[in-house]
Amino acid sequence: MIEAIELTKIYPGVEALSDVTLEIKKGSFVGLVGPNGSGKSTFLKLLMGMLRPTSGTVTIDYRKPGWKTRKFTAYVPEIDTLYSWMRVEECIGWYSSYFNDWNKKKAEMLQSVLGIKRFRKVGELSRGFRARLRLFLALSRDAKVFLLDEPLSGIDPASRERIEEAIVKSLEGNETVIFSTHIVKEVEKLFDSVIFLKEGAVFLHRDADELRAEYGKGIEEIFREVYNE
Amino acid sequence: MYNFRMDRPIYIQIMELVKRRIVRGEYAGSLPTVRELALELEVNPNTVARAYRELEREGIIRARVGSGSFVNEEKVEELKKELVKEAFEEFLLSLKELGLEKEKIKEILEGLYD
Amino acid sequence: MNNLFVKELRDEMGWIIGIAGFVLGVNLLMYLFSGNRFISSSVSLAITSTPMYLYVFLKSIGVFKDEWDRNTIYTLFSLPIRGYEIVLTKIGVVVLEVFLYYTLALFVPYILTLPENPLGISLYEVIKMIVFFSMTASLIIPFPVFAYIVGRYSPKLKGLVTFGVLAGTGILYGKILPLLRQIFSTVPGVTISIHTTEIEISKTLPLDWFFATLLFGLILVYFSSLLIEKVEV
Repeated sequence: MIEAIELTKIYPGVEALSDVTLEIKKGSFVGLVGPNGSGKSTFLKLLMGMLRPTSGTVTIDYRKPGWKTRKFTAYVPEIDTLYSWMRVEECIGWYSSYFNDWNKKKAEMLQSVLGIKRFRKVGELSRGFRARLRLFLALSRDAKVFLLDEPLSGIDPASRERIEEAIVKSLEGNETVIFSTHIVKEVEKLFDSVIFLKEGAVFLHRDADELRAEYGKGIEEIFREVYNE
Repeated sequence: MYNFRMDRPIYIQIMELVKRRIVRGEYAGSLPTVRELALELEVNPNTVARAYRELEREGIIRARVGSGSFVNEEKVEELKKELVKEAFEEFLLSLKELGLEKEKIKEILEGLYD
Repeated sequence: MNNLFVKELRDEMGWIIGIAGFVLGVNLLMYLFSGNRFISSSVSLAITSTPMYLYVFLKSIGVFKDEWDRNTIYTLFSLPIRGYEIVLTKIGVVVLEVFLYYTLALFVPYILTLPENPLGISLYEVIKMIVFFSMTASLIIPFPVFAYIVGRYSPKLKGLVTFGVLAGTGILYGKILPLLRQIFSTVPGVTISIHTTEIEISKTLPLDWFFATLLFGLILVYFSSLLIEKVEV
């Protein structure tokens, strides 16, 4: 579903991704883990066509990322990106109108799980609620690919719980999900496979349960070992 | 909400859970669907699917196209033996770890029997 | 696409109300204080309004720059929309602001002095003036839009690149203009007439340069639409 071949992205002075070659099969839930600055966000933005590779290629469903691939790809950014003057309800109506894969039933379920406040302005919401809204907009779609950029980082515990619950409840099992995070605890049970990024390069890419069987350790523990060298 | 250990493959823990429930008779009808169980355990449906596949390989469950999965009744007796044996072996292992002599353990057990 | 235009409109609502308030306010003040010279002052204010040209120029950049500054560009780029949809809706909203300005600036004094109608202008002439001046001011828009989008391709020194592109396209425009004007040389001009008992003014403004610039502008819009699809956040 997702393929990167020698994908490199260089910003002025910084090599965010170095020669990344990987393949993610359709329907897998991938944990993209690494500390801040390891290239996770860059990778997801490249998949959305929001960044262009410096060299190498990346494809999603065998196509170059662009407006066409956005039809079936749902993206949850880490930062606040919604129009703050919109009321939540208007924002949902406007945003959902662009997607044929908007699932009303899912949206209803997620709205209650995430506690979406319909009549406030987006700008008036707290950080945690803005994060919930961003996740809502993505998960309410029957997208083929979900790209979640640090959906739990810097979020209050109550919102974290709701977000985790929302993700679990919206999974059918056939979606391709990339969940990028530097906090692995609690969410690692959702990973089919894990990609460890270290300074822009793929350090490890394995099936999660295989890793557990082989090392007798959880992903969180392996994470600490890998990044504390 | 079920607490899984992260240092062992989750799909294996799910298999063990399902086996225990089968032995307890909780799945006398049909097994929950992959999605249902995933929702209950709060895990990825793919992991449940893997557990079910392995259980099928072991012959403990059988999948019928369109109607979900069912317990293979013939295997239940064998399963009961297997789980009791496992529990017993764990018990024995924990006793042996005490480092006591077999006779001493027998003496204590007889005393505890009442 | 109209969904997007509505969103652009609401995004700009503050400025739209501001323009309306400004024009109405100025008109009101002039009406109250300049008496019978009101309408001529008003009309000349509207017509010679260099500030409006500056506003259009800055706004054309602003509507794009804002998306990047506020990070809402991420939302825009997560939608399955084409580049031309973004470019046209944003240009559309700036054009709307321009039209609003000239409509209010020319129409309000016209209405207010209707009974006396000191300049003897007909409604038809007012409309012609509104359309002509609005569209002329709108011709500026493609230049800063194109320059800004190109500027965004440069990892550093975006401002410098934008300025450079602006200068470059300006020079190119200057060189090509005579050629383009020839294409439209047969287009008739627009005549604006003002009749009173004392004066009879009839000015014919040539439109060949107008259409020439429009053509050049549309080409810039076309390339802007292509470029914005490949630009980075």
